[in-house]
Amino acid sequence: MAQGEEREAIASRVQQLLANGQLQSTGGMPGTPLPVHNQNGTVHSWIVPFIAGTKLVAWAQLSRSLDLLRFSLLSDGVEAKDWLDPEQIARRVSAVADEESTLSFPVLTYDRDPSRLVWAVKSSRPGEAIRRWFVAGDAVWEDAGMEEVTGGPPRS
Amino acid sequence: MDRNLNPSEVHRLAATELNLFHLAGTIPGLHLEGAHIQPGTPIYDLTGEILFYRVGLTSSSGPSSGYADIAAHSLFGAPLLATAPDTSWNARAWLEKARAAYQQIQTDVKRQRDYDEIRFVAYSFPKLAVQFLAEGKEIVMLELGTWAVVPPANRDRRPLEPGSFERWSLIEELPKDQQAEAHKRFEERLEALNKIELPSAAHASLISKSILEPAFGVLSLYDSWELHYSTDAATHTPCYQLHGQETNVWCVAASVQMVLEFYRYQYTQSRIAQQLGLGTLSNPSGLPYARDNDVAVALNAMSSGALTANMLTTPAFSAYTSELRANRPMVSFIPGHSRSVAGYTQSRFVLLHSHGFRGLLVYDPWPPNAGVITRWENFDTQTYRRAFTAHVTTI
Repeated sequence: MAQGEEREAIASRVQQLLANGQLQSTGGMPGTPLPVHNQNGTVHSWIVPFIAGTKLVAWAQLSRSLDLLRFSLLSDGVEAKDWLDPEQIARRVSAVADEESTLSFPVLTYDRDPSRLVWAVKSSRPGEAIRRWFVAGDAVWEDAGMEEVTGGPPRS
Repeated sequence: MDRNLNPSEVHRLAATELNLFHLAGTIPGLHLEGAHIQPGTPIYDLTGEILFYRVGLTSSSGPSSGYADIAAHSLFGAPLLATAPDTSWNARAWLEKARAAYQQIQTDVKRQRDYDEIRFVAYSFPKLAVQFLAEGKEIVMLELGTWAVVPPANRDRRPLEPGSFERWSLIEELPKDQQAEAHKRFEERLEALNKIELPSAAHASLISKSILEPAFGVLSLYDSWELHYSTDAATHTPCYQLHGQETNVWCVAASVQMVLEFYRYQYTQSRIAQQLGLGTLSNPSGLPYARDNDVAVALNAMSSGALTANMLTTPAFSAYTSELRANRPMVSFIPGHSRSVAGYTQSRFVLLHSHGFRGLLVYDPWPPNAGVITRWENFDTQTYRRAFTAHVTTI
């Protein structure tokens, strides 16, 4: 299925889940579905953000076959732009990456497990290895790989 | 009930069965949402009775979503015989190839015989052939795909023990007592399925979770529990405190914090991280897999021995329900991440050994400094590495 069609199917499925009560109304309105990517660039799943005013208050995560994976609510909500505005996300990386780095466009992915949603941004400078950064809200850190650690390896 | 079903009955069964299986998620790999059920192709037994229909499934944009075989004879015992998600079914294309093969055979033997009927036959169920007839009598039968001529029946053998390339009739050779038993099961299944009404004629050929969900109210028949102050849910509201992880690697510390706090042991997350050897706020680390059991040790130590904690490996859903029913939260490890669990829900809707929806109420410390309450996490789509239980030691 083309990505546009899949996006529509996800949006429609969320409406069905709201209508039959499987997702509870949070006071937020469902926004445009966003694909969550695997490390290899393929789409793993989709999230549908729920927005109330300027706040992100919840998201629903669905598999590509439209199964609900989880519906997660943020108790006080977070600023929606911290999670949904690529420029805001890139600015956070820009603040910690080396000056004169070129940044890639943020890609929604996950850190270790698909429930740990992050935006991934690569930074590069001529002659140097590419660095991969994760952004989750106002938290920014460098991807330390997939060692067998619950939580993540120590930050260098 | 007649042992033979008519085409409209079969189509209705196809729509109901495929929608039920789709709703229960019991057919992995078959992408049925939005698929349309095409008119079925009858597949005959050698006796001339229709054995089953092969129904193609197409997506809303046209491409094939595979096919399903739906029984038209009660000897199968149940309506849904098979699904083939990766194989398309195009009866017209097969018949064109069969006609071409027939013409070639006629040319080779320098004989022309006209047929007035052509049909698909399960010559050795489930293997298919195309049968050419004139005035009700067979001219030739060609195996589907190879177009080899299917030899006549060999009667000199035991029933249900045909050779590798031999025609035989399922209806004639299946023992009568087995057919009777299957007929009874089929009747029972039909009785249950007839109670399900597809909402409208427009849904008679559509597969979608939205079609049957409202009728079943799947989640209205459920067993569910969320942590309360005590096991007396009637007089207390749910209570459990979410803590976001204070660094991107302190999910274990945050999860342990939530459980300890439930038992009224108040610690900062940094203090818990220190206990678990997870570094400091400025230099944090996660918990290596080799030290998973440190969680149980920490729960015990930080409650001064009041909590007896255990580690479970690849915990089943029942492990969660039994702990949560006793009003005890758990720490749950999934690959690379930790959360705490404060409730569950499961549908009591059981369909052909499918357990329905099973969900966990997850207090997830991710994202950092916020956390989310996940209601519900689909248990059947997640890998669970470990769970940690903690209970107060009583006299």
